Amino acid sequence: MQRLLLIAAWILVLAPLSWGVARSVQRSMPLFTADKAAGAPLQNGLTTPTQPTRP
Amino acid sequence: MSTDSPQFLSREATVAGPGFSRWLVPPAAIAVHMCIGEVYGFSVFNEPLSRLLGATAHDPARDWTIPQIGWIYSIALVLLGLSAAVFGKWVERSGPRKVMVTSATCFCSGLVLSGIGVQQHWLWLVYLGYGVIGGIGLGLGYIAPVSTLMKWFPDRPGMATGMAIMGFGGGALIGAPLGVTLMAHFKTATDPGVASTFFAMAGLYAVWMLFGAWLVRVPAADWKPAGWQPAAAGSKAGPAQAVSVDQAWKTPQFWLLWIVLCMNVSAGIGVLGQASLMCQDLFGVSAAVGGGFAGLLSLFNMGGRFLWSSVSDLTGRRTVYAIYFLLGALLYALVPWTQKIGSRALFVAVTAVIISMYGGGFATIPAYLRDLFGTHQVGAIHGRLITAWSLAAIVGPNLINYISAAKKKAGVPAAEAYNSTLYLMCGLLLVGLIANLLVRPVHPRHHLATAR
Repeated sequence: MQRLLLIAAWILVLAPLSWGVARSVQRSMPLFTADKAAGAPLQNGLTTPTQPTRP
Repeated sequence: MSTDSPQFLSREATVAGPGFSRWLVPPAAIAVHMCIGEVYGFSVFNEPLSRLLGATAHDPARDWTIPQIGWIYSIALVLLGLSAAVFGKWVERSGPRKVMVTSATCFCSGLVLSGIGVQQHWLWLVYLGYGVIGGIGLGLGYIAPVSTLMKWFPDRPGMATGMAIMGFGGGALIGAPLGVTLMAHFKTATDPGVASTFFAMAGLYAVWMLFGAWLVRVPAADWKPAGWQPAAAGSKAGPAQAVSVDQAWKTPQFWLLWIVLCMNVSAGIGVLGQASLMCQDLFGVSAAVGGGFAGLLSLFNMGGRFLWSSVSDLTGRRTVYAIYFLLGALLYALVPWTQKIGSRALFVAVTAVIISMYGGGFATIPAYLRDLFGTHQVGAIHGRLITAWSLAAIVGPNLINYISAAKKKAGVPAAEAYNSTLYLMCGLLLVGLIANLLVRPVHPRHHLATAR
């Protein structure tokens, strides 16, 4: 019974964390592909940070 | 009123019976931390909150401005530090379950109040709900499982707290896309869906946080891991003799660690807060690539929390912080060079390591406190130390923004405007290194007469 609870508990926390990690990996993809894939024009100094300060 | 409820929440009710697996405690801690970590994904609400009345576009006459909205996040962060500092002793006295339930109540009711505030367009209620009440929930939830985890894992305290604090970093990765997904689901032609998203998040987070509260247990007083022999208290390998929270902050060690945390946070924010823009300015890449860089750093921030704090169990806390500061300063100094040689890959690698150590610094500090002050009131001591984080999180980004903006205004090319900021980061890390090297064991006069 405890083993079942152990598996369920870890799944319950790892599932959302994995989803968050997958979304973050997906978001970081443009970094590894060519700039042209992003399609957004470069506007030095006019863009806004897309990531909040995250301690 | 039935007496069952208080008993269920009491510390006594959470004492684990024989045969309880200590590996059930980390998911309980992570469940709470990954929910409250949502606060760092709050920026996804900024733009929708600024066009609640304009619906499709910002209406400057009636809508909230971005600086007004920014205060919601700042108030929450300040309250996080203050509540962790003020309620730390209560946290230690009450046990993790009662604190986790209180944290869930504050955090989720704060979300509900904010949802009502958004519906009625009462900014003060959003400040009160998400900022003040939610912020208290953040502080309580952050320190709730710390001492419990270290009591369950006396053989690997760094790894144990690293798992929970990694959950906090992971919470940011979940909160932002969850907010975006829910807003997309709830939005209508006249409503960006923020209020409904807050209500839905309150419900979802309540389930996970209360699950964590139900699952958490404290070990019996005489419990220890099978086959593990405690090192003598105060020896190099073992925890220190117990020091009370009121005594701890009268010691130089507490303030040295305060400086260590403050410098580590300030320096890390130098990269994190400007990650996307810095990548664009240094390498002339698009906004999407800059955003991708920021996303990658978030992953290293999260992974570093677990990795480096686990390493600290092998190397010792002082050594691992010396690595953070020395290697960090060296890598910061290398960033302008990576731009000069035009190596984006090297830039990404260097900053990823920097950010992993920044996350590691957060996750290793509870174990460092345990080494110096024992486990007796380590959660409460950690709570007071978190004020360093609150200060650095507010002051750090403003300092960085001011310097780089002033440089650009003075006509320095965008690619070079960051150099002085980066060298300032090196300086902050060297201050942290000196503070770390000055840390010595706590003088016995500060020890409690009878260690619990």
